[in-house]
Amino acid sequence: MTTTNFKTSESAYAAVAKLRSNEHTPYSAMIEVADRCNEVCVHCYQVQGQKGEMSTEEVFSVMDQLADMGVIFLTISGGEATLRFDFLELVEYARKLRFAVKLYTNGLRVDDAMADRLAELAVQEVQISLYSPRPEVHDWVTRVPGSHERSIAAARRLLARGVHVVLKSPVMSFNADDRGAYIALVEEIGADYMLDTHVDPREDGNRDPELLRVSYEQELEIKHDPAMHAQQEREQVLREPALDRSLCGACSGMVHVEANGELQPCTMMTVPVGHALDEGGIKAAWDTNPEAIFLRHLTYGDLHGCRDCALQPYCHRCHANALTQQGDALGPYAVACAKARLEYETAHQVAPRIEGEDVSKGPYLWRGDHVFETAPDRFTEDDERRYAEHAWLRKEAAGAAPGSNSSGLVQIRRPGSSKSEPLVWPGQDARSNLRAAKKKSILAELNQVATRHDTTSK
Amino acid sequence: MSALPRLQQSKRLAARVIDGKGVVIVIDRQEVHTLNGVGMRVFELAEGRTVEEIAACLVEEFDVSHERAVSDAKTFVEDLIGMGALEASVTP
Repeated sequence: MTTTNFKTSESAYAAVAKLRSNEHTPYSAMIEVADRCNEVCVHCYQVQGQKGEMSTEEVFSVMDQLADMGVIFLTISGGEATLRFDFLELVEYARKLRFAVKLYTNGLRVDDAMADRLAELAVQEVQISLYSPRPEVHDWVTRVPGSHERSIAAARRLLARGVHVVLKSPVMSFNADDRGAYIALVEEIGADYMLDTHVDPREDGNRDPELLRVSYEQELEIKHDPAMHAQQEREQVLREPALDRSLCGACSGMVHVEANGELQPCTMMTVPVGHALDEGGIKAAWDTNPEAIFLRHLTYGDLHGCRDCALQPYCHRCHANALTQQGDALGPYAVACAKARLEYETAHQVAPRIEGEDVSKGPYLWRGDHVFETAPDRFTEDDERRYAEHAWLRKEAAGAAPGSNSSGLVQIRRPGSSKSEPLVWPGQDARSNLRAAKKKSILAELNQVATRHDTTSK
Repeated sequence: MSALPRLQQSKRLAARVIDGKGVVIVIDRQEVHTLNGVGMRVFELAEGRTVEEIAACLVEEFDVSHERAVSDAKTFVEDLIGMGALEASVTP
């Protein structure tokens, strides 16, 4: 018998993932049980109200199937899962099947009675979204007055009952400087925190949320911030040498079920890989769906450009983001290449100097002494065959690149709204905010950094 | 004669067999335990049984003497109780 202690659900995942004899054996799953939310967050990647939701019995069936497949970690998410009338019934059923249950919620509906029940059911972790220690900023993000107070109250209720709570937020341009106060607040409450600079495009391809990304310099500063020790511990758990790990968990260890029962490789990749309620269910789709099989067997050797890149060990590329941002799921894209450069700089305490024409995007060839040069993106016959057999791997990159609004005004469209509105957050002057957001567009910023290195090298 | 403790699995854990290995997660202690096939079988058999009853099942299922089965089951059950995966209750 071996025992592993875990401080976070991620380290529990890592411990279980390692004991599998087949790296593709499913062990974790997410069910997005609700296709609606009671907040309308400015940066949210989800487009809700499009698919509908499974009935109680159908969700039970999905859970039965996942348990039979050996899945032990189950994340119940939405939309906002607590909006379902049968939410607690679903959690109770999941615990009856002895899943380790993690909940994603904004906490607005977590009253004393719900907190009591979640504590009784021994859920492994409740993750509550909290976007700022400043109520006016959080409420601006969610567009729900009083949501900051209610989310914190939910966290306190759960913690008082012994439930492990993680408060989490993307670190964005408007809340990056709040992180010290954020951590202090979380520590005062007695929860853990999870801050991540990752901001995804909307799942319909709209790239507006990317406007909110932090700059390269901000991200570097955050990485080195000693106050972020808990976050750094999480990342250490998750990081493994790139050459030894799978590209991602999509269709390989991780099952993702949409609110209506559709199966996707992950929450971001909208490629259908079956339906949980079809004949044969999840197992048949997992074993036979050609796209699922294709995805789980992808290696760096299958990625044109990336396979030739010397920064591969520092790369955390994502097929879904590559598809949205570059229109090509299997190639390099600027945001991932910038992150790889940042990881290199963090690891070596020296910025990589990149030589070449378009230095914003790899592949980068090593030239010695922290100097790299861009290389041609080589395509082979095998690459062409992959694109021919899996047409979804390429599409026109949807939405305008951040900061490219021809009017010069950066705007954000709320999920579910056809109207755009200026990006203005509390305590900021509108015009300077628009300029700041545009300036801080990560692509432009990263290109500047890359160009600076390029100039230095000449 | 005192009654033998009857065992039951804790309600505050997650458990599964993954690739032939038993995985038991004790939620409150934030621990992941990995059990081999026999260990997981003892954990499964424990629900509602005494150590003697578990040992009797092991004798039927595995090539093991009664004495050895009782001894091993007792030791392992104590480990499982210690790690919070099993609870023992004496019923009259």
